[in-house]
Amino acid sequence: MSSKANILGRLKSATIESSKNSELTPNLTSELSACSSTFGLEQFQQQLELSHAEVINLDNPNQIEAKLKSLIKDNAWKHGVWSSSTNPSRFLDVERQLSKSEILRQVDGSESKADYFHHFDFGLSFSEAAIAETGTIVLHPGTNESRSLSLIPPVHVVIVCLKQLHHNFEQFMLDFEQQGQGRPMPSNLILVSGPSKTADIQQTLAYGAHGPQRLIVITIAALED
Amino acid sequence: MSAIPIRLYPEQPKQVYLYASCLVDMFDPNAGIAALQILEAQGIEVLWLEQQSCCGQPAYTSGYTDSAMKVAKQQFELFDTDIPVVVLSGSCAGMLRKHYPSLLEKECDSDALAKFSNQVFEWGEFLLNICQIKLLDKGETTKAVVHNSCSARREMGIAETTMRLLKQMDKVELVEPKYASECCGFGGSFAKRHQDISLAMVADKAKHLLETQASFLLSADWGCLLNINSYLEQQQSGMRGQHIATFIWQRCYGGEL
Amino acid sequence: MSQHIHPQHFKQQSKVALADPQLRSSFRNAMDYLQDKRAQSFSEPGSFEQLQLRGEAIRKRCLNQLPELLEQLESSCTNNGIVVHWAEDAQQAREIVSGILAEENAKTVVKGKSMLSEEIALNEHLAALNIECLESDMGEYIVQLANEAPSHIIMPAIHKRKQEVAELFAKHIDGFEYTEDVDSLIKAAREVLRYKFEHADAGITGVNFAVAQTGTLCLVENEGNGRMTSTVPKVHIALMGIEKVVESLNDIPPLLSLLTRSATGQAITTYFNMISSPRQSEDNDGPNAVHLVLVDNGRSQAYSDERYRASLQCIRCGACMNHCPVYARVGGHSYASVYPGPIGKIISPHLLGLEATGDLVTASSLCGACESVCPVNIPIPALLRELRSDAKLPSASEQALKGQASHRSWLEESVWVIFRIIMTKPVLYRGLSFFVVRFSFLMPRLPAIWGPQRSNPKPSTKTLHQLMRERKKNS
Ligand code: SF4
Repeated sequence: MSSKANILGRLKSATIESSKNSELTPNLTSELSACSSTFGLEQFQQQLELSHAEVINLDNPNQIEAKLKSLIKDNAWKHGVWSSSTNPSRFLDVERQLSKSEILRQVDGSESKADYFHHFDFGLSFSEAAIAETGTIVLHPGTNESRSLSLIPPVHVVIVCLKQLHHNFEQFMLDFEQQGQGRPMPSNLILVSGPSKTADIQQTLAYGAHGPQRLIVITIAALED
Repeated sequence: MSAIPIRLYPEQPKQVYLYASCLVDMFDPNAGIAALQILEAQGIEVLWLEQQSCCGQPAYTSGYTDSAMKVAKQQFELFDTDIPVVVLSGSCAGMLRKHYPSLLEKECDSDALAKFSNQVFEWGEFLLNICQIKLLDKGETTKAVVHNSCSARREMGIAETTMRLLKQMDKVELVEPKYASECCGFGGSFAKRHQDISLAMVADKAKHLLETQASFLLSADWGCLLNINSYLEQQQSGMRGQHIATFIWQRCYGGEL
Repeated sequence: MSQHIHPQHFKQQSKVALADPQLRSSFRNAMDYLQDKRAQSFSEPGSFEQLQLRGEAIRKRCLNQLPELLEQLESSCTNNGIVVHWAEDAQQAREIVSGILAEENAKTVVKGKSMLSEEIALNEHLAALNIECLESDMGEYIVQLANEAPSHIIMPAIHKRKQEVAELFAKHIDGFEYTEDVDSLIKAAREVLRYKFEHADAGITGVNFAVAQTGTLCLVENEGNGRMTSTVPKVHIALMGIEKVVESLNDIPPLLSLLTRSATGQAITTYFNMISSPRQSEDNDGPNAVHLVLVDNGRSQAYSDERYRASLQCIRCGACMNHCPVYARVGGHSYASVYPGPIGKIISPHLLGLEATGDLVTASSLCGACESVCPVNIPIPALLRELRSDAKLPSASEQALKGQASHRSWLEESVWVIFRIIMTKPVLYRGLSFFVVRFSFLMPRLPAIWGPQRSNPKPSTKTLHQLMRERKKNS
């Protein structure tokens, strides 16, 4: 018999009046309180800052370009990699500007490991969704974005679209399941709530354990419609 | 264990059983007398069963379930389940209330067990929540540190109750030690089988108790007191723990025992 | 690991640990820190109990349909392109992993934190095959350099002070300039490990939860090493205990919240990584192959016993050890088993048998601190009592836990038989207690029952039974 059959056989023969047990375990769900978007935004930023992320608020998308320029200048970044938003119409102008930039390269799958580890000073991406309660951004690498972009370069800059601010993880999951009805899961879905960190040496917090040392989150108020 | 459900308390009864525990019986009978007299002072008739011995916990926690079960059965059958059983130890109360029903599941009637479990109260819990006792403190101003047993705290959920009862004595400054909720290291046969670990635990407990510089050490559990006092004595410390019943009797009812 | 001495020597090992003031203070400080963090994150009254109720219900429901969910997980994963393997025991699991590595011609491996890989002693196995397997979690990396085992399931190097880490790095990392500054230490390790991530042939991780309906593997972490391990190398192998499967995506949020808050007091970890397939044709990166190894190794034994099934609810948060007064004093290594602390005392007998772990199951005062913080409400003290009872059974039953009845001794047995006889015969009991108080003056002269640092308890001069009889006579 195969290992699978043996294991399943053992489990299946171990019937413990499970029907009785399942009565004891009602499927409880928490009450999902609706959150006003302004309150949510505040909470989102607060939580992110508590996790040591840097939050930049802009009034409208037109300001992104100038902001990025000053970030690049101030930090003396020489090379960056960026991925487009999955919702391009909202950021069309921004993306047009980005693609013209000399120091920025758009993800197309041709980047090597070495590029990510040694060449790029920062990665720039757009976030699909965010979660207020925990200060979390949701990344969805795939066609536009790479997994490495938000992981390997020392800095990750992410532009968050506030229209998709979920109250908590639970609500995000419910919405996600509903919207995704029937479609398979993306190969990778990542929740990020700050820069990489560790407290493994004597409970002392240090940032930049393996992933980015800095997480810069740009939010745009005008998109909140 | 998840939150201990809030317990609803009945009216004050006319009669109760007093279950003293084998430790009080052999090591501090005066606490038993104090406890009994305080109950009587509330106008309650206290029934004392000559056949009570031990709740069976030592065998139970040591893995000798069969012996424990036989002891438990004999003890359980002594009681008429219509009368409250007031127990002079949070730990034995926990055994009677929380463990008898499953331990005796196959031996005794489940309704009777459930009824019995509902009738089990720790002594201080009974006084405060059922007798609504009001203590009148006649003693000198002093400071006392309280050690609540793990069973009182986590199984019976009455650590706060004990504190509230003792706080009624207004001339006693009541304190808890650092790491109040940590175990003193008794645990029945654990203290013997794993002497070194148990010793490290009781040494820390004693240190935190002494740090409070209290004049009295109080507990509602003689198991912990046995352990803590044995350590304090060997270290020649002046502090010695006593049962809360003794302390209350002496301060509020003004009597030597 | 080399430091896995043996749980049979728990007593000696804990004695050594107890006598080490440095170690004692390392653990006490860490426990204080972690207890505090957890308490803060559940500071709202009732917030823990409410979430715990849900967590327990989810874990129970999923365990009740465990075989079905495992089959569903396999088919969902297979549909997504994840290759699923089944291992009955540690040896099969090791061989599956080395088989995959051989096929991929992988010589260097990076590993994310996985207690299961410790459980199956994977590193030693791969080392024997000349495959380098580097731990990439900071704590795991430190203990690997020290050639030790993790001393905690969440914080593997909790027993090490920064001075010790600095010395280790000075010895093992080329060009390391001695410093005890934690930021600089982390930076030094980061450089070493980034090189390894870049060049590793394969990555191995554990799994925190797997979703049956969608075939999704979830990894919870702060450092990013789990993401590195599962993103950069061309092959990703995920090791998972069969109990970790949940039904749907909606089961995840409450469990994640319980896990992170109980473990480190965080509302969420830095990364929550959901992997549902290897790199797809349209993806820009990611491993070309993802393997999932489902490991039983004693779990179906625990599953088949109504009493012990609850232990499989465990989500490995470590809260029970963080609140255990025994663990805080003897440290993780004394247990000499992969899973230390309260839940380890339940798991280890299922991995190693009761004969070898008899001292573990008795090394608890049953204070209940573990149970009171367990996010999925596992009745740890009750399970310990059951294990004690199993160890003392007159004879092992069929299909029993290995080592049942192994700790029965006629001497101890007789003690408890006598106990029973005395306690159930009132006359005998009163006779005995009378005898005890009558000769109480002898107590100090008897051999010390709790060792030399505690005097023997001194009985009173009369029993309560006597006083009550006198009282009755007088009234
Ligand atoms: S037994 Fe409970 S507290 Fe201990 S690790 Fe498992 S889930 Fe956490």
